[in-house]
Amino acid sequence: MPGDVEGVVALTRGSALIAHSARSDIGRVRSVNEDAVFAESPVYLVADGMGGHAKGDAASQAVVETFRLHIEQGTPPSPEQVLDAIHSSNEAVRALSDRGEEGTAVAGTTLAGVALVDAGDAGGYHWMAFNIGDSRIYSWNGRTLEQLSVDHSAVQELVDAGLISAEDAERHPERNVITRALGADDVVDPDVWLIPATGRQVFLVCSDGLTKELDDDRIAAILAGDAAHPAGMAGELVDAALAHGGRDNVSVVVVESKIGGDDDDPDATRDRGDEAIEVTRPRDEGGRDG
Amino acid sequence: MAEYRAEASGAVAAVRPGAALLVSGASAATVAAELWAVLAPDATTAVLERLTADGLGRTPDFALLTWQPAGEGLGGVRIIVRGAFEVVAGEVVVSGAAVSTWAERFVDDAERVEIAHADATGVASWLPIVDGVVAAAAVVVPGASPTGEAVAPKPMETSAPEPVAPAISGAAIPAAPAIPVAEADDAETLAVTEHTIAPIDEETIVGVTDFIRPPEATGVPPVAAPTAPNVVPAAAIVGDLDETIARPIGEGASAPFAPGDHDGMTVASADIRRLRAEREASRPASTPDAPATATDSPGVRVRMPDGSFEPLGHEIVLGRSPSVSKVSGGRLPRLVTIGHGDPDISRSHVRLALEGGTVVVTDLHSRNGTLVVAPGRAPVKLRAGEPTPVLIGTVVDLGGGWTIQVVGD
Repeated sequence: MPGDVEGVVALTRGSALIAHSARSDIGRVRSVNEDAVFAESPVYLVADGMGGHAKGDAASQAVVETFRLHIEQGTPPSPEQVLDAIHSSNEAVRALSDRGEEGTAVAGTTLAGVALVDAGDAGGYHWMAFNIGDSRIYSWNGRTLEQLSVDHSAVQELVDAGLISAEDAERHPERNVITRALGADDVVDPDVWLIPATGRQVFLVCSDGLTKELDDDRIAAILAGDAAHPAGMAGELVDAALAHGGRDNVSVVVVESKIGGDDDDPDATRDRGDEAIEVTRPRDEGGRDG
Repeated sequence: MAEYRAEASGAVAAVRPGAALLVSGASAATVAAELWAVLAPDATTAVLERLTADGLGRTPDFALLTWQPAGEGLGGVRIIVRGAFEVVAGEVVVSGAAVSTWAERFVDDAERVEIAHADATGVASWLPIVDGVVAAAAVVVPGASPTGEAVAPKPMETSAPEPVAPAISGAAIPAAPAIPVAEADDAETLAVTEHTIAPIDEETIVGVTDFIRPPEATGVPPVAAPTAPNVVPAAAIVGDLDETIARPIGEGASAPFAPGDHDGMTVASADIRRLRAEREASRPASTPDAPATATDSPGVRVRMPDGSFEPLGHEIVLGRSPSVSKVSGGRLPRLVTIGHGDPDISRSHVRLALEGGTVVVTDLHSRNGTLVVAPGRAPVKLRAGEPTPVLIGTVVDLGGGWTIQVVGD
């Protein structure tokens, strides 16, 4: 796609071709961009400094700086190294609060991202998705957009509890209250996913400035189209959010990876003829009685 | 004190004072080394349980002797034989041939008992062994006395293939362990013999554990500490272990005792070469990170189909292409690929975790299910998604010939 930055990550066997586009915009209402974006192969993330808190922009920048220090560019880190970077980011954001001059105000930020990680000999390469707060990670397979992350927000908890519908959530007065954030506690508790890295995969990482302006269908429609924007697909999405109002900072990273040489179709688990199990079943039940 | 013949029969002997075990089959070296640690005059049951842990079908051929050393003779000797072994105790011959389980005999006052594998040629010289694990086609107890007189001198074979051929005549024997035991014999045997076990009925011996320990058992100096098997012809054993490890992805641990090729477990050498190449190829990748990841909980490990071990850590997820969905708490399960390319195996097939010191196995709603086989028990199919505690030694069968085993240290 035009506007994409392409990079090749050398893997033990073969290599990963990763193209990404990233854009962060202050929006049309706010006076400060408290979002920050880090997009350096093979780690891609968005941090959304918390509005209303002191130094939201410093908090999100602290996350980016911490990742820059912790992650060696061009080499897949281990999942533990990514977790380390997350925990170190939390400490960096906590340190901002300690120096803060605004009394009880605490610096905080969300963090959502994906990283191509090396899970070791036995595990292989995976895309690791990590999330704290209400920024989001989606996966896109060319037809459907699937939200991978689950918001750590008050309204998400209400939705999960069945108290309100997903539609109500978008208008709920507490829709901006998040329940987990970097900087909020001494120990941060990220949600983590590990997805086998195989074939062509597309991830969208974004701050809530995108998802509060555009619903999933609209995002999917844009992803399905062509990206003529000089900032690539991320530029298209940010423009669309700005056109819809741009009431918050908008940050988007779109990552597309191609890893070749996979002969194993991950979608096909074959049903096995169960003769062997039939043979053992009588003994099996006898064993349970005993 | 015993003697053995190092011949290429594929069998491995584990010898301790009061007990001798010969095992054959693909995992002979592993099994013998493992059982050597528990081998004792009263360990018959424990040894049998281990040998039959994977069911009778996968029990290797073996011959087990246990005796309560009493004075100069062997005293009563219990003989258990399965498959291609034959035991001769005076006029008594016990053979595993034509027996579907195993043959067991008890012989009073045996003077000399010889175990031989069917493939034993009798060519190699008898070599002394006190305590240890060696590749051997035959074992005889008692062996030459430590002063150098062979109890049953055999014709010296100058053409013996073993580089150590001087063997028996080298009575000033280089085998260091012989000497301490000799002392033990001289110093303590007499004191004990008078009131030790006269001929004992079969009934009384079973389950009796508080026998007066024979001098060999108590008097053996730390030379024979059970931590490091006295592997005598090191090269032979190492070779065996290597072969065991380089099993094909598909079959390996599913048949730790696979006795031969009649069950379709034969490995094409191309497979082994490919496996080795793959392992070598993937090794450099992990070296930078390996120390940080592999040291969690060394206590429990998982024996993989290729013979390698994966530390259980706190949690692992195994499958054809395993993934993790929304975990929190800051600790990640390790992902271990098993059955790559085999559509019988689900992408995330089974989870093993250490919870409060107990190993818990959960089938992750795999398409074809997961069986667990506890030692000596029938296979049980796991209910999908239901965490099930298992014992150390349990074999987890993912189907398609992919099995792993939970092992302790």
